[in-house]
Amino acid sequence: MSFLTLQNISKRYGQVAAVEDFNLSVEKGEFVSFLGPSGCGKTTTLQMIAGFEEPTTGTIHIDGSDMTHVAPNARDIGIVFQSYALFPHMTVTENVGFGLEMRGINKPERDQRVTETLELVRLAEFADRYPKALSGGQRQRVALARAIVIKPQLLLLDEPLSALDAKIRESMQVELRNIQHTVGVTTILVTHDQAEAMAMSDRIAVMNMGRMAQLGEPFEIYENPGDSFTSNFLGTTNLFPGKVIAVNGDEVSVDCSGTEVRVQGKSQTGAELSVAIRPEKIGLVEPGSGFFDARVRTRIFLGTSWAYQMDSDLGAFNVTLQNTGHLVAGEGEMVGISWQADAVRLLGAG
Amino acid sequence: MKTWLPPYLLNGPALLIFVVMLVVPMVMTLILSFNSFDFYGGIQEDYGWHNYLEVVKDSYFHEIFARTYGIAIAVTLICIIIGAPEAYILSRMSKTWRSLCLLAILGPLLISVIVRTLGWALLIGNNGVINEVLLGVGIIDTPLKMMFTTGGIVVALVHVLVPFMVLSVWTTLQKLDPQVESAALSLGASHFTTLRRVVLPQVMPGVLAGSLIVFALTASAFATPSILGGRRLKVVATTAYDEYLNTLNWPLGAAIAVILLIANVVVVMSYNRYVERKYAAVFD
Repeated sequence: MSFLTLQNISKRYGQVAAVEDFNLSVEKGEFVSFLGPSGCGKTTTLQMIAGFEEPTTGTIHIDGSDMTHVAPNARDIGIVFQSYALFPHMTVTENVGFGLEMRGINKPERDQRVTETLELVRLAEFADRYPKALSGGQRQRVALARAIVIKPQLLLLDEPLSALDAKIRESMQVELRNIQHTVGVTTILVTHDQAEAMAMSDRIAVMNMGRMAQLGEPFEIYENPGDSFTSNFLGTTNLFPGKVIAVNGDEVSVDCSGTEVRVQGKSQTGAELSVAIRPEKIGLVEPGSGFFDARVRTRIFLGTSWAYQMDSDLGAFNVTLQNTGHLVAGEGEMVGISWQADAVRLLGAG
Repeated sequence: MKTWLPPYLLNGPALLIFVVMLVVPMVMTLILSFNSFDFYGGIQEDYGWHNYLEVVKDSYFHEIFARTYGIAIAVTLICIIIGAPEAYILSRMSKTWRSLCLLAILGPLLISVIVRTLGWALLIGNNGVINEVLLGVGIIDTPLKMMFTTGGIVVALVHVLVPFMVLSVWTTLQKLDPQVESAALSLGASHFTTLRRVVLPQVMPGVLAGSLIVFALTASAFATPSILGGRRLKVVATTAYDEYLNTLNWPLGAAIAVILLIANVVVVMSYNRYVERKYAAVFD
């Protein structure tokens, strides 16, 4: 049995289902993210693991024991809250030591573990400050230290980085991941930020409307999204709706608004579906030498890359090109569109 | 026109009312408190500290001041004990129940002080409802003395002042991050420990602000102690009133009033100082 098992979890508020039939097994030491838009049920699921909500149906097992109806203060779970939820009337040391104190650990050992943990999160010199006198990133690290100092069975992170600005957020992602590796604690992260989920997790559970849409390693689900929701939520995807006109073994020919596009995959003639391609997998070639031609509507420089918006017979779509130091196509120019055969995916209609 | 003038002109009417209605009577009371009183000649136009010395030296006044501040401390403590939990429960209620309960809590403030106090008199008097019931049931043989006691005054003052404590604590509770309680629970604290170690310290500024209001209002309360305490169980405010209207010794009454004012200001200011210094490092 896995370390954390959620079996057929559902949560209903009256007639409204917040979470439906959710199943997940997490191995010891694994880092799993719940990724989805707000209202997808990811926070509710986290609340049920933490014990602040009880599932309407289903069971939660941690390390083999049934925790479904155990009170939150008896679960031995460390949580980092979105607002950090630090105790404003306690110093950093007192905040971090609170959980140890509740476990009846004597002061010398408590002090030692607090010091160690504060060194781990690089906050040793702020031990005597109150939360009010700390920056957002520092508060975040106090919240993390407070959650891991108790050596919990499970660490839950509820949108822990959403209140930080972009620069600090990126460095905290790396730091959080490193700390999690050092401590080796099984971790669940709830986030709506796909970049965060991909950067930090061993596996991602993509959630949509209370259900799990897809579960897998970041690279795997980025490359092989199961549906158009996942493919659009993880990164961006150009979707060309079309109709299958011919199937030749592993190759499918799709008619997208009059242009024939060939895709590796399986389908049936006459099926309505979408051809999906990531903007960064499209290449620009001489007009006439690609699969079809398109006109550059806008071109935005992003430093490491160029973002193009294109108009074509297939409809509008996006292209991302690495900045190689050379200018490629300008606004208003016609270009040919090309890609590697294995870069395109077939997704169900929608 | 000079630029500094318009603000003063705009403030003028309010300033005038403030000066005429508040500053002038206060200054006149202060001057009056230095005059002396002659039983046959009335107020004498001389100046001295004799009225203040009389209050400071006479054990009769010591007792009255001690009673006043004793009542103020008791009312404040009881208001904390009742009001703080009441506010916490209120903050956890659903919207509909909260509105209803808030109305019930604020009820006493909506009734005239005289009517409310006379209501208490009907309830706790020797022939009042409580005594009639207890006598009728046979629990007691002689009526309990509740009217004209400090206890009666304290109960009636708590009744009207508890809303100030509830509102003050409630305001601080609303600023509380609800996740902080969850955090304490997740760290293994029991509900009671969470309340004591996490919630209570954070609402202390509200409790302290509420006590300030309750204390100041109790120490200067007049109507309730006057009706429920009668002419013999005096507090400072009723003593000043009696000196003015019964003994007709206006200068002594004025001196008592001035001492009460100064004492209240000193208590309130130093308390406020203490609170601000204590929490400056912790809260915004």
